[in-house]
Amino acid sequence: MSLQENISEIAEEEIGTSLWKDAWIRLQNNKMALIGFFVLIVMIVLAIIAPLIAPYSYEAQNLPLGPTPPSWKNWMGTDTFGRDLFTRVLYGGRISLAVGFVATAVSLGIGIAYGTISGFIGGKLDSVMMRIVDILYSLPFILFVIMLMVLFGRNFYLMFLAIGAVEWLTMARIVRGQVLTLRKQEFIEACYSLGLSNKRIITKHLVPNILGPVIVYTTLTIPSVMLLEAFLSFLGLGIQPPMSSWGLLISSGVDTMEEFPWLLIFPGLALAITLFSLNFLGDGLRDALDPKAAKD
Amino acid sequence: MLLYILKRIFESIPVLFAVLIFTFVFMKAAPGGPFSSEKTASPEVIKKLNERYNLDAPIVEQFFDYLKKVLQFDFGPSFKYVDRSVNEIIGAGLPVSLELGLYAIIFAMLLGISSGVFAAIRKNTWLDYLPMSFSMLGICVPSFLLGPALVLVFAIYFEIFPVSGWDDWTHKILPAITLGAGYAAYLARLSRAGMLDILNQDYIRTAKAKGVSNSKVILKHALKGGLLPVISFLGPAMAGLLAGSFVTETIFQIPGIGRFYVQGAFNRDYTLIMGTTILFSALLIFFNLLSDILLISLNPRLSFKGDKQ
Repeated sequence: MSLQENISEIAEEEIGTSLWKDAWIRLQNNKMALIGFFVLIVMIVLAIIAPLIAPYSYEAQNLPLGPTPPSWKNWMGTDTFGRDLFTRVLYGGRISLAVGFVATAVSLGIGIAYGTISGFIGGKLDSVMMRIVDILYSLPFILFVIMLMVLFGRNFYLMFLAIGAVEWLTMARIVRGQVLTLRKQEFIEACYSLGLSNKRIITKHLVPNILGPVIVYTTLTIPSVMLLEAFLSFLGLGIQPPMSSWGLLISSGVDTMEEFPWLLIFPGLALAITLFSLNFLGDGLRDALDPKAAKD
Repeated sequence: MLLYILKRIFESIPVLFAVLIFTFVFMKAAPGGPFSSEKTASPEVIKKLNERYNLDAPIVEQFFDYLKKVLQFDFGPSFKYVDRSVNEIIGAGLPVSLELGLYAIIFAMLLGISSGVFAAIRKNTWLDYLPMSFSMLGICVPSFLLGPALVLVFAIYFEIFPVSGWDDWTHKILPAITLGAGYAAYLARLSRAGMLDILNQDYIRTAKAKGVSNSKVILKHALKGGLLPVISFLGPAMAGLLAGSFVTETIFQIPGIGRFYVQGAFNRDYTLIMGTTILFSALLIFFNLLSDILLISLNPRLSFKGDKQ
């Protein structure tokens, strides 16, 4: 057993390092992707340390001050309640990014589990499971998310769950396709002949090998999830004031954009820049990790 | 072919049924009712209301009553808009939404496909880089940001178009661009990738070797194959158009079905929500089927048996 493990581990390591090293070199040549990566890191760090660097409180109102344009005291100006917009954008980023990452993680979990089981077991179960995915694809999911948010209160955690539950379908398809092709390859057959259990084959040999496409698709799911959160908040169904998210800030910025355009411009820029960097990073990762994939 | 269509239609019946059950259970499980916001109403009034809308009957009976009506294309009375049935609201809102969706799709296809095809033909020149950068912009700037920005520039500063409403053609340009821009971006990328794929094929080289002119190669030989991914995108795109119409109709205050849906959701207007959800699902299934049929008839390599490989 120890010898078998040794062999499989050595083999894994060699394939792994060369693949990732290769991908890293290719990614370094893609300037837009690198810039996207850098901007994203800055955004995440800013969101994490927001309570430390925020100059004001995000909810304390200063009604006599009212809306003021950007100045040295308030970098992005203040909103109609006299709250510092820079602080609110920072805190909004916390929520928008958190929704993006957590909901994507939910969809990742469901998608990988579903796709792996479907592809690995195959046969009748596979066709039934994929038929279900096809059917779910043809439903207007956005309506169900809206329904969920309205009927069960605008719960923060429910939103993670609802969005994650909507976004797993494509992930399941990608994972299944990968598993199907991998399953027929020699190294999996070798695992069988070495007498490894199904569980071990799946967790140790299948899942690590499908990571490439999964990472790529994850990077592209995060922006669409963030868009969905912003969309819900824009319609008034997502995050509720006095909390802030970029979607919510944009929504209230739209109401007053004639008189106080900065209330729309800064949150809009924050969201657009983040989405830009995620998309560029995702495209770059796809070129780097998955050179054969179609570039649509 | 006919068999395939029939099979697909047959398959969609249980799906729609499942949607119906799902929405119904959802509504019943949700806390609070449509009349719970009217705090001043006396118990007798609420009882009357419940009787009128058949809300105090056993749930199973309510369900079958509703099912019977839906099968006759009757979605019942609206809870919030007294005197109006859901059918009337849909009848008033749907044509507006469809019109808006049509303009948006036309705008998206004209701009997206033409720029994508040109980008593929002039690969790695500014005719490629410029539209592709714009398409990235189109994907990253959501409609609820683009719409207000357009209003700010074209309606408020330049006063070319009205800010909101739905009357003559001037009211329809900004909403159509808002709704269509994201699709134009996707279509540009899809058609560029599809065209690049086809332009590298042997039969294109053969055509060129035989001395067929460049424009003829592209128009007669490459376009048909290159635009296949575009067609398969159009079916699912309808779902997105739907979601987009919520935002666009809210921004521009257009009396379409999307706006009624959002308001219905806020008001817990059960019958309106269920009616529109079922309608949307049916529409979506229909458009998916349409794009699949189109895809099969354009691509002889696909079989009629329903598997798309």
